[in-house]
Amino acid sequence: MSDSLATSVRYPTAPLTTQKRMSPTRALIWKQCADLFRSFVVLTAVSLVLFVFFAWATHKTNESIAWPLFVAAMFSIGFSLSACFVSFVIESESRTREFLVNLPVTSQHVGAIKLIVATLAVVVFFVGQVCLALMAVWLKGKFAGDVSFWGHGSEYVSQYWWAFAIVVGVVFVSSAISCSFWSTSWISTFSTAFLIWGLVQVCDWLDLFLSTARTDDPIGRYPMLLVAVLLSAIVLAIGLPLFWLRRRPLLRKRIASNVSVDHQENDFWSLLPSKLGITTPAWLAMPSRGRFAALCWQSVRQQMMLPLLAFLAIAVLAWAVYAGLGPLHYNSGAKMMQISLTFVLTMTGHGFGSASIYRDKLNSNLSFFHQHQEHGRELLLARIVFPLLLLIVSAALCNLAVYLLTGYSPSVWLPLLSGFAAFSATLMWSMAFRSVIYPLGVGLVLSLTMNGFIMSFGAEQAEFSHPWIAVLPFVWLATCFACAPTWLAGRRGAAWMAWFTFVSLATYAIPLWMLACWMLGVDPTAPVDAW
Amino acid sequence: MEPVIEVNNVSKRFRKTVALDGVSFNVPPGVVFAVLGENGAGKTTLIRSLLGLESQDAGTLKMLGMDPVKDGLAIRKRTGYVSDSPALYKWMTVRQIAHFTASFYPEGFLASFDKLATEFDLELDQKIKNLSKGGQAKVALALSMAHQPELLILDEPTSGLDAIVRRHFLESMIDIAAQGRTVLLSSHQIGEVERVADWVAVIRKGKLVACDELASLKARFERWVVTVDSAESVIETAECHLVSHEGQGRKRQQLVLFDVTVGAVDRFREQENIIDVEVHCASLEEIFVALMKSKTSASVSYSLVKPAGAEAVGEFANAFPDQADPRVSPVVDDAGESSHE
Repeated sequence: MSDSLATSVRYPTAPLTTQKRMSPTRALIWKQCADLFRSFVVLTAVSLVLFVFFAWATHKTNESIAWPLFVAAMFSIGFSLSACFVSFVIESESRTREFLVNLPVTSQHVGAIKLIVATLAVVVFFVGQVCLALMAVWLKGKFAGDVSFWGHGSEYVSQYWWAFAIVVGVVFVSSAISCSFWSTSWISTFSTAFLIWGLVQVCDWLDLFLSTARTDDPIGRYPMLLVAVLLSAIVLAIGLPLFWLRRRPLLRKRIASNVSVDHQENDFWSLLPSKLGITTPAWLAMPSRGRFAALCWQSVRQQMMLPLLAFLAIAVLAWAVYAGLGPLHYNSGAKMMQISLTFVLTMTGHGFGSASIYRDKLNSNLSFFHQHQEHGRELLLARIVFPLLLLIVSAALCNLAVYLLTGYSPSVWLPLLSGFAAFSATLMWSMAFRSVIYPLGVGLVLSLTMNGFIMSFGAEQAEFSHPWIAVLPFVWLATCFACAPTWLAGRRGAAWMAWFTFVSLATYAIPLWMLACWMLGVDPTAPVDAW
Repeated sequence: MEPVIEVNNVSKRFRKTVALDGVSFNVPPGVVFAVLGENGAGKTTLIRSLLGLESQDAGTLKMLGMDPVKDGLAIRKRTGYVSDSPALYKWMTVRQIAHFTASFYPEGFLASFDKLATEFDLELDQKIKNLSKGGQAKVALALSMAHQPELLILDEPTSGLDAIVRRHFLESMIDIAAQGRTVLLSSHQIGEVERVADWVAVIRKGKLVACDELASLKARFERWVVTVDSAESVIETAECHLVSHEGQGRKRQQLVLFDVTVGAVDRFREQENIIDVEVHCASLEEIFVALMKSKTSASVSYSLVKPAGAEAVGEFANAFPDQADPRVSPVVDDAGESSHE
């Protein structure tokens, strides 16, 4: 969790007996604030750097006004997800929830404080982001020597901030619900679905703003938005009392299942086939012989839920298309398709990367592989083949779904490359770090950069903008493959660390370079003289 | 006195696995009550059911006269619980977690924790994540004991503790019981349990196979070491219920269940191929191993479960209702199975 928080949060150092006892509410608020502190500070700091960069960068007038609010919305959506994840999921997975449950305090009390503090934190974060966006617009005017920036920018922000706030709110509510009730698998699925929806909405508003009149009313165009808000509110109103606040036994059951020795056997995904009356097909049965076959079998079983996540995301995407993005504005709709495909496949690739190594770390399966470190390469190969195949299938299915709904056939190369890059980056980062947050950050930065790039230059340009987009993931993958036995053996020499640091930095280098090109309005494929 | 814990015919299944199968027992106040069993026997499930963390499929549970699910808050105020792998906030220091936890208990928690921390040699400003496994176990123990609970439930409490702290901790269990409070603990360290426990319950594959005061339970077992004239010798079984037998060759051990009838040893010795029979008191570990190995314990050891308030021994008629005289010798076959003729 937040390892360095205790140093950040001031605490008395006097002998215990001389300290004043806190009230339960104050203690819970203190703990919740400490939990959220790090993600709040890190995201604010990163967004601040981006805002200043935007202000400095040379860019088209309209975009210069719109991008700060876009970044504010993106980071607020990210913090919404992070706040829910930290409040509910990490607490559950690290089993500290068991500690809370055994304290003499009602789950209503704990749940209410968690939700209130998280909500307030998201509100404060969003307000802070809007203020920073205004600051960026003001700075832009200063740097450009054009006072009209401030006038147009502040007018734009004051007109549309609430529309972005609604998107942030919907993502927060949906994430809070999914994080409160279900296991990580469900959380990933539901949160991602709503995240995609939120991103599509924000991107579309932005694209609409850039391609048409600034005064167009985004809310008027999207009755579905209001329907979604209403539905979320209803689910929240019914769901919270039923499942989170009143059902303590359910909460306890979840905790028990998290710590039970039968956890693996009782895992939802393991039970699902039997619940549906599906017997294990022959091809999924444990192979009788062959080490590589056994490793492939284990990998497929471990990663099986990911296709479901990808297909659900496709369904959300199809719904978003059907809701009117494409038909209303064909050109912007086509861009939206490209953007959404990229996002869906990036997150799917990230999911595959996490399921390849990170889950082994969580479940302490690695000690098993440590004993068989000489088979490290076979293990990695077994973990790579299935995701790559499924990424290709997912890309094809995404393409087909979009084509059937809109008649527009977006190129799948960029989404596929993005998904592949996210997969290989996550795989590599999972080997270097215990936390999955860093690879998730890579996936998000990669996806957002690609999306921004598509919006600025079009998919075709973005596809061939830099050969490293295609080459680097192979380098990451080859690194994982080559280093697998050393990594499993735990013998990480200076050379190993140096190489991993280098390729880890390279993971960020390309997205950041593209991000810079996008923000500066520079086409990276153009001759250098044109810069 | 009213029992602190009442477990009445509790059953629990996980899919096809039976975790608890009709378990019934009562825990009297002011005792150290140990629950023993193999891995996966159902000990942790039983403790989780008591805490309301698991819902039982059948039967009823009561803690301090209350329902663990309905009256969870009131129960948690009066109980302390340490799991086998305590979950603590790793980013907090010992001081912070004590202060945080103290908020939920009455005044006096911090003073008590301070004292325990000194006893356990805990450094207050050290982060939990920097503590060893044993150190974290000490913090969890101190947190669970600092509010002076009426009932302390400990699931494998001494795993990870060094010998000195373990000894100190076990002594504190006796002190707690002496103050009229109750300790329920599950442990694999049978030797340690034997030192501190007043009552012992043994669970095997979800069934309660023994539940009695430790002294009574031990009084009902004897360990015989039998020396025979040759490795191939076949000996008749003694006039008692054989729980398990082990050893091959000339020296064989036999563990005997229930009060051995008067003169049984002498009559057993009279067999011509027996050279010597040494009679020893069985340790708790030997009793436990014997009960775990016995293939007939489901029927034989039922009589070891002592109902609350009953006398320790002499319940043969109730134990074997289908038997006219349970003292008739069981026949032991080659595989160690015994059956009553």
